[in-house]
Amino acid sequence: MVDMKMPILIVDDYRTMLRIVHNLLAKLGFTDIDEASDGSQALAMMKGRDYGLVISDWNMQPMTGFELLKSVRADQHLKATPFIMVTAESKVENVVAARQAGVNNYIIKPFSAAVLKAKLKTVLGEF
Amino acid sequence: MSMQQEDATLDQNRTEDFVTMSIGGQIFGVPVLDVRDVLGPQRITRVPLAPPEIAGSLNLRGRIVTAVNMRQRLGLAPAERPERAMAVVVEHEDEHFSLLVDEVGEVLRLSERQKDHNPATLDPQWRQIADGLYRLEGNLLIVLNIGAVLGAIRAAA
Amino acid sequence: MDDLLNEFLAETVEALELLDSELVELEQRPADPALLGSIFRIMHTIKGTCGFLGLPRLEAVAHAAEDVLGKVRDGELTVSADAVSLVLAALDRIKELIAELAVAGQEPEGSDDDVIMSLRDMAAGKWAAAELVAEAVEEPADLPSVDGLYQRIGGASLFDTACEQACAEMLSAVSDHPEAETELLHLQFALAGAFASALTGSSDATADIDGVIAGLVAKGWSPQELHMLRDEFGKALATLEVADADVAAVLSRFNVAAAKPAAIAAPAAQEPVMADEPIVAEPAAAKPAPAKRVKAEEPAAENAQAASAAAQSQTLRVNITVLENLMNMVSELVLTRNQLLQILRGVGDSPFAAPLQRLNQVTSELQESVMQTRMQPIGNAWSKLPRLVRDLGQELGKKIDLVMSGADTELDRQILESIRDPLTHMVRNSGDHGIEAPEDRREAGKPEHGTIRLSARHEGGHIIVEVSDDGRGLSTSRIRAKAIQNGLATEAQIDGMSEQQIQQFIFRPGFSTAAQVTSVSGRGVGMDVVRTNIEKIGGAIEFSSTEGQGSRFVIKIPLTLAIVSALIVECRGERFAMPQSSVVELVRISSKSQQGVELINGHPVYRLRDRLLPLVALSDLLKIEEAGDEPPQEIYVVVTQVGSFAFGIIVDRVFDTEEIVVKPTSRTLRQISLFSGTTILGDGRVIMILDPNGIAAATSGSAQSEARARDEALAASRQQRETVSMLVFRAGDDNTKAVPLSLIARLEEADLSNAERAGERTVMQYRGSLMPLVGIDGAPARRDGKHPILVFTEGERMCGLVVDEVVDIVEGSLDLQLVGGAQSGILGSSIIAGRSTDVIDTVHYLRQSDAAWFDLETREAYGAESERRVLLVEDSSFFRNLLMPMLKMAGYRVTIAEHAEAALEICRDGDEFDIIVSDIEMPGLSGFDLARTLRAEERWKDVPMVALSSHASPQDFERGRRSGFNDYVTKLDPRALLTSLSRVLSTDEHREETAA
Repeated sequence: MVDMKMPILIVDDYRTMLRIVHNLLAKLGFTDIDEASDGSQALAMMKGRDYGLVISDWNMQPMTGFELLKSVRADQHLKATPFIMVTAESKVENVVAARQAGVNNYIIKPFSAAVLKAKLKTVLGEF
Repeated sequence: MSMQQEDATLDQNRTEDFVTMSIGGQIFGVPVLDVRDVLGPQRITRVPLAPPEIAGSLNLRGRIVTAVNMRQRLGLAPAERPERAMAVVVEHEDEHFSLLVDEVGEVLRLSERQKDHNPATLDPQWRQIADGLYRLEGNLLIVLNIGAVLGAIRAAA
Repeated sequence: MDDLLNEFLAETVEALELLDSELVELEQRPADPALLGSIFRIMHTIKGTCGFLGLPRLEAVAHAAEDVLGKVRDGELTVSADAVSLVLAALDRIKELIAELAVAGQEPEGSDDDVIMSLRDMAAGKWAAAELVAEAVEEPADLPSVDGLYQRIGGASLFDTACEQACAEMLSAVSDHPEAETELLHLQFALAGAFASALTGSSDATADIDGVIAGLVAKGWSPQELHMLRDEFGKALATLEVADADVAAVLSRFNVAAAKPAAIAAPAAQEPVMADEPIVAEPAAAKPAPAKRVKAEEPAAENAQAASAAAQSQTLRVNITVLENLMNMVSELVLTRNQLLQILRGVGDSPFAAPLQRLNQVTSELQESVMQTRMQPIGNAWSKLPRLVRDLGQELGKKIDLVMSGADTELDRQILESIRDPLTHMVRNSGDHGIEAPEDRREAGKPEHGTIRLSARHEGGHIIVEVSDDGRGLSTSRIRAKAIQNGLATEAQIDGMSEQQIQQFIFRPGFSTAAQVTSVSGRGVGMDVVRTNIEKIGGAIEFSSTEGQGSRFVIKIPLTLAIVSALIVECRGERFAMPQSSVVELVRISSKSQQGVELINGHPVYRLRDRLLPLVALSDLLKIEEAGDEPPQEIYVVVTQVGSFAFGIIVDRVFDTEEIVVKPTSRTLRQISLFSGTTILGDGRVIMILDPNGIAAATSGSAQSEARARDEALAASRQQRETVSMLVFRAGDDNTKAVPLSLIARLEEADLSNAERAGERTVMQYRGSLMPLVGIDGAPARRDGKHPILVFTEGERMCGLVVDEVVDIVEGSLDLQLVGGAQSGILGSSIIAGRSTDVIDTVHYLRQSDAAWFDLETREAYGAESERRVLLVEDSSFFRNLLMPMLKMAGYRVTIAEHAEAALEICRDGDEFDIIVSDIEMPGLSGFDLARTLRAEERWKDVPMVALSSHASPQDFERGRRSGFNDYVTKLDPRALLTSLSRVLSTDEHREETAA
């Protein structure tokens, strides 16, 4: 069972995207959603709080989602955090790279609530 | 956002609230939503070279408000006791103006059914700034169009 | 959703602005991976976000542009001017769509096929330059069905997810296969890609569904497995909330039966690639880069990126309205503080004194901090310029480089907004009219690439912005012709003007007319508007140009507008604020005696240290009628300086200086040019802020006799540097003559029948001594009737020039055509009020009055007993002609240099000088530059130097000293110059003696 109250961190440097993903998660029933506007801020926030899931954009500056992912996986305390990468590119090599860096899944922009839910299921299980 | 407003427009029994004021014996009304404040006599700084309708500037809680002599604007004779003028503060294009009038009356709720268009006999100078009139008991209330009242005031270059 | 859309619009507009300039940079630095990454990223983000917001047109355009950028990033395309033009075109389209979106709340109807098809051709490598011009849409059959099934049911993400689910199901069925997972991942992508191309009609040959199926068959998939995949795919679509009819439509494309075992091209044959981070290549994980691929970032760039990352986390985005409100509140606080301080002054000892002082201090600090938040780098106003220059170059077939420096110079955002348009206009002008076509440049011996330079720097509480180009400069003859043609001046007037003066016509209203309109610059804005806009914010603009070498605009603007220091004055019981920056000094005069106030042709002038200032009464300017009560015992003259134009404003009283918060005047009062704003004083009363520029214009206007001259006066006050107040009189014959007002010590009127005769001379008792009186012919004056007398002084000596009639005081041209010798008493002729007028030589009359003593006395007075060699560096012919005879008269041997470059040449040629006198404001090298240059040279490091300027504020003085000048004197005071020369020279001798 997925805990709908678990804290989720969404990371994007485009405010509009943060709002969109936030809304979609809320639509799916999640209630505790934090936002970070870049990789380094996200990392700092993760060190202060145990998140049940991180949804991060790939394309960010200065610290990219990919770098964030690598930092998370390299951190003893954070490495088990489920991590979903958001990308606008559906290139297999990117996904392979992300997989190798330890991403749990990825989502191609734009996506619907149904797609988000399907992706979350692959990471978190049925809910 | 506009659902309620649209409903209201369709409502034939629509009413509107007006702040009433008297200028040279005539009753005028300004929609209450346009009015920001009503003030008693204020210290007004005269502005040299200003258009004749501009009585000057005044300080309304740190905001500079331009005072408009409504008698002048309406082509009426100057008030006998101009220092006792009351002020109705309105906002126009992000700027505050204080309309100097003889007296400020109560707020009236008037029904659309009482409303008439500007009569053809209305003085042309008034017609330009009037937004129709309401028949009151034994009197007429002319609705002031704030944009028209203030829009035409310009200093000579 | 509205809110979200607004946020998207705001954020995207910001991103797009950045993109504009970055794209132009990319053209210059095509190999910069960080730049490329950044551009790609913005386009990519726009594309991604638009999908969510249901903005298919935006998404499609951004997508097509992103594809081109992606190919560039991957090294498949090189950055060409065409590619950049195409992406810029896409950018323009996106901006148009965004603009309409902002108004209507939804995308407008219409097609972007023109842009998209071009981009696609570019991405596919099918681009030929000619197509850019060709009307688009040649292959309408190839159009994507953006709003079709594929997008409607969810686009890439949906198909990706459905394929993922289907493949996951397949994986559990074939889990014994070790390679299966990777293989299925590739299948997932191949399939999703195949659907994308099948359903959107894009023709990516490698990725059709039949091909994918054929590949699976080739790998040994059984028909059952293929059916299972199809079923799972269908199920997945259903769980993703795709309607049954649509599922059926999609599955109809999944034709398992079509598979032929012999089919080719297994799409899964693609090699998995290692981490290929989409923006910036990750040096650690990057696959071996193909030859064309951009290189990994330089370490320096990484450091810069790290630094900017650090800086970024220290900043916070704040809404402008919040800042404006904050500023307003601080303004209120400043006002309240002022009010409290005023009360405190009235009560003397108070227990509130100490805390109020603290409040005072904190308020000032707070004010400063809040002002700081309003500061923005000037580069924000420049961001569109690289694009503009680039497009201009393309459009006109010119090669133009834009070099910007000092973009991080900060100034108040309100000012930033005010100079944005003027700067854009000037840069556009430089590109359009300044820079020549490459072939012309080559012919002129210049590099093909023209350069427009834009720079900004702080200088003493101001920002100096310069716009210059190395183009053809202004053709004076063309300006001259146009000025005459447009009726701005008569041929005779122009004949009397210097090249630089003629060039200033570009700032005159009515100059930039139809003849100058081109598709680029002719947008209804003339340089007069530029000048007006800059002056509106208290700035000034100067222009200089050398034909064939280029042009230069120098703009001086204040740092902030919001809070200024002002002198509070009173006139007829009403108070006004006068910006302190224009006030030079205050003079108190008893109103009865009005000592120092003289009337010239009805116009009052004030003699301030032997200099006559035009006077204007504030009550007259403002038309405040006299109150009934007694006139004040004393009046005050506020000596005001605007540019080099000094004048006095008569007021009744003067109060303290206060920090005032400038608030804009009401829209209804904005036409009154004498006010620049409104403010609230410490005691709560509202007062108007006087505009020194407006008063200057009105003052020189009122000093003119004819109303027609008003426009000219306005123009003259704008061109203060080129004009000087002249007293016009008649004497001898009917021709008018003139003398600079600054050279007249006093103006008298006397009945000459009372004059005395002393030997050959006519003299009169004047201020306790005998003053010789001479006529215009230099001979002793005839003793007949009442006459105006112009009093000249030199040292202790005086001389009265008897004239027939004083005509007027006008602004006269500084351009003086030298005629005859100094003997004639005429220095030269100048165009004054449209007429050629003789300018008399005061020194001549002083000498005539007593030739015997003059030379001797003057030499003694100024310590120049042996001939000293002076190098006079002065670009204005007027001042050259004015000063040279004076210096000669005082015993100096004068060499002239018309500009600093010439002076350097003369100095380096081996000439010796005892002293160098140099103007400060000159085109090209300034006087400061000259001093610094000479001070760096061994032979000149100790030679005395005196600066000559029309401005002589303490700051100017200090700056002069720092540049190496020994003294600093104002141009209009020739006597001060002589005194200075003698003082500097004697100090120099003294120093030499001490050294020896």
